[in-house]
Amino acid sequence: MQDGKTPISRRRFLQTSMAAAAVGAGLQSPLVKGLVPRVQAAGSRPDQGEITSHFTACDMCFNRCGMIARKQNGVIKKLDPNPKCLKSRGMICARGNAAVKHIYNPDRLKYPLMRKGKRGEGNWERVSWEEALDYTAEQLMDIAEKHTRCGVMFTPGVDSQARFVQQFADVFGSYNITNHESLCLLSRNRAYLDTFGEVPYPDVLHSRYIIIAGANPLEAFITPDTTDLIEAKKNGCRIVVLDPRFTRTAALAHEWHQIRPGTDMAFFLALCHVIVKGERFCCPDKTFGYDKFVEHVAKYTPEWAEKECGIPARDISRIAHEITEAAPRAMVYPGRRTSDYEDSTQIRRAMAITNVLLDNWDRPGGLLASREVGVRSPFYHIPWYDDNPFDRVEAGKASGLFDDIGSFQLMREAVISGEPYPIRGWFSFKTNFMQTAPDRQKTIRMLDNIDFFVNIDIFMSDTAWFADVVLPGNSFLERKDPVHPLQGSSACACAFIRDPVVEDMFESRPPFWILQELSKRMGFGESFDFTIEEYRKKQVEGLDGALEIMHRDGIYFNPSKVYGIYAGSPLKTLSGVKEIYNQRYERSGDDPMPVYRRPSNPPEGQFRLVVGRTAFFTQSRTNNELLTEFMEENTLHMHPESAERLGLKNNDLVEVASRAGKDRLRLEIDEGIEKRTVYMATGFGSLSPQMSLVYKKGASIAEILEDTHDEITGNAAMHETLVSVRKVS
Amino acid sequence: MRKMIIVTMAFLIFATQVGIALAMLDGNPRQGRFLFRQECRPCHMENPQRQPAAEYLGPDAKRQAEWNEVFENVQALPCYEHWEISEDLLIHIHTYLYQGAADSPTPERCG
Repeated sequence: MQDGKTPISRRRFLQTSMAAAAVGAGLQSPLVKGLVPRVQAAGSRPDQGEITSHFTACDMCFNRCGMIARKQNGVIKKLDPNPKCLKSRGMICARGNAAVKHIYNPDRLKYPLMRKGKRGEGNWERVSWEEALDYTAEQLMDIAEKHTRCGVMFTPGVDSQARFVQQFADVFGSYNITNHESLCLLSRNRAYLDTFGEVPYPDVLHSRYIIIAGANPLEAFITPDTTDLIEAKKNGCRIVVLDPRFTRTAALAHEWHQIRPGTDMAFFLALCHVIVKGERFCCPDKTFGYDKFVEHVAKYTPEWAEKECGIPARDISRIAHEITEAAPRAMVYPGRRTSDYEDSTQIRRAMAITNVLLDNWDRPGGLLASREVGVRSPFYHIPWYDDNPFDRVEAGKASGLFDDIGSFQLMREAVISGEPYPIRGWFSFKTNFMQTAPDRQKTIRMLDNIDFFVNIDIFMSDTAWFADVVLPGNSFLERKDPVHPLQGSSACACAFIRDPVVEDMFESRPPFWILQELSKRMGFGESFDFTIEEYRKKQVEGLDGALEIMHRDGIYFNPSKVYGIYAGSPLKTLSGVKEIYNQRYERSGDDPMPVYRRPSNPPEGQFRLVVGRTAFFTQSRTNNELLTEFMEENTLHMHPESAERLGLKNNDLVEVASRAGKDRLRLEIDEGIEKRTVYMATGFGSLSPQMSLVYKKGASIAEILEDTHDEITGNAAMHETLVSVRKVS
Repeated sequence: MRKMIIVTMAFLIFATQVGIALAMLDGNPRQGRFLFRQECRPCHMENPQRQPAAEYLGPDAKRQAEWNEVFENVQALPCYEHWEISEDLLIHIHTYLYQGAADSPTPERCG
């Protein structure tokens, strides 16, 4: 146990202290300069004009925290939190604050562009919207004619208007739609869906005992969980963190265990071994396969687990007893980005089953079911094309593939092979697989089989850089968006809208408008013949006064039931109860209960690469003047003993190489990381010169990570890559 | 013990039903989605576009076993006489609803 240990080096402590002293002395550190508008900093007259306030919701990550934009003389000066937004507990983070530099970023795409040279060469020509839209429509229809409607794949990003891209793909006739989720959380979703019948929301605030493994909510924010975790601790909740790194979340915890990477399942099976032997455990008549599970975990003793995961057996037994005592107000935190190992669904199944044993489903301090928000999805007709193939292109490639999302990596494989049928077009909206998907060179190779690629974004992302047509979307602060429903655990079930705070800048346009214009040119204009106002009204039919409340408060809350939603009704599993033993897995040849597989140890001289993110960035949205002041480039974290063995020093430029590729970045000596593991953050090493703040700064995870995926869902397996590290002279 | 026997029996019956249903369901769920939205959904929505108006209905409105029950006796549905599709296309709708049922691997709420 590393109770209370704070592995901060003397050097880093001094650096931090010096920086604080500099700020205190009024010196112009980069951070201070960034936060003071330049005009005022230069001593000019303060801005004149009335300051107006406008409700909106943040788009710097997926959380959608409520915001109030303060505007003066037509310019957004500041973004404040909406105190009425319970989901974000009336707060916004550094990223939310920095959205002022998102909208006014000089790197923004300003007008439609068409590629003139080779892909990735950066030879662009400015064209009119008419020209860009005509050409895009013509190319998409040409592919549809030659290769069927499914010959175009669609990748809508996280956005309130992504629903319209989904609708566009549906009406166009392609079911090859995927998104970032297969690089993120599908294995968690699969595990909980197959155990409880739905994906839960953790009631962190009311919990008394939380184990966090494979998650870092103090940096990779989830609202309200992140703020609730701090509040829960104040209220006496015990927090246990398992992580190969001493993360910010580990720093908050009562105890941190430096678990060997990839061995979380061993810990949880041993935990279950102890729990089922105790007097207090859940009600077996509300589970399926409990008795088989008791037999199954008999061999997974704490002593066995200690040898696998490195956590002392006595601690495993103690934690099992403590969490059982706290149950049902206790949980294994489900986390979010679970794209780590080839058996990541089974690892999360082990965690989900632990939650079953804690009997915390649908109860305060446990795991909650989705609450009723009441926002509807307006109906639209879809066509049928007899020549379309039977199913999506990667269907059947993974036993637990989600029909509606699929897997980017498996789809990429199909595009490269041309099997079972060709995909020759790509329509991307706000996704950046060149920066986020493992094996970037493979994504580039995929483009050899893509005849036409159109990308809508507000920046020239690495992915846009390889497109044929780049269309400038507008930012969330310029948008009129449909009603966006949100789940907020026990805090709320809510919905918000966005109206433009400022007008569209340059020649940027709303994605909805782009889709309307394309649909007219492609012969299905009637499918998008509505306004956002009309659409919103259909969404909130039955929610009296909801739109008025959203205009008045910036957010609408549905006072729906929080706990006991099932109230004795069957769960949405095959058996109608919590499935410890999963029948579908048995049929598909997967282990019906999680079976531990020892992860491979890195050979001498190699390391396991783990990736994650900081509180400042959201994957590929790092190109922000305010935020890069916190961290100008990513570094490779390595334990001092490992570095010494390799003759490496702090800040050395190193090359990190895997079987997929290699990249260069600076070394950061980190006493808090496991000795055979190295870590780097996402979002750097950009290929696109128009991401000027991160262009060739640090390294990209996409360049180094190998193309491996979870066997059940096709979700990326980002912690399976072994790397070698050498100093670059 | 008695409870265990009942649960085991229930499971065997359930598994048999599911097994039979799975063996039968060789329709095209994508085509089923199109047909469902064309034939069923316009009436089965909160603000129906066609008559006879009915409650919201999407794949996740029922469990897989319940969809099998519905299609075992499909002629008994009050709306059956209003349908304009041939019997041989029903398998596609059945497959679509079954595969997106509330207890399916990918529950689907129909927009």
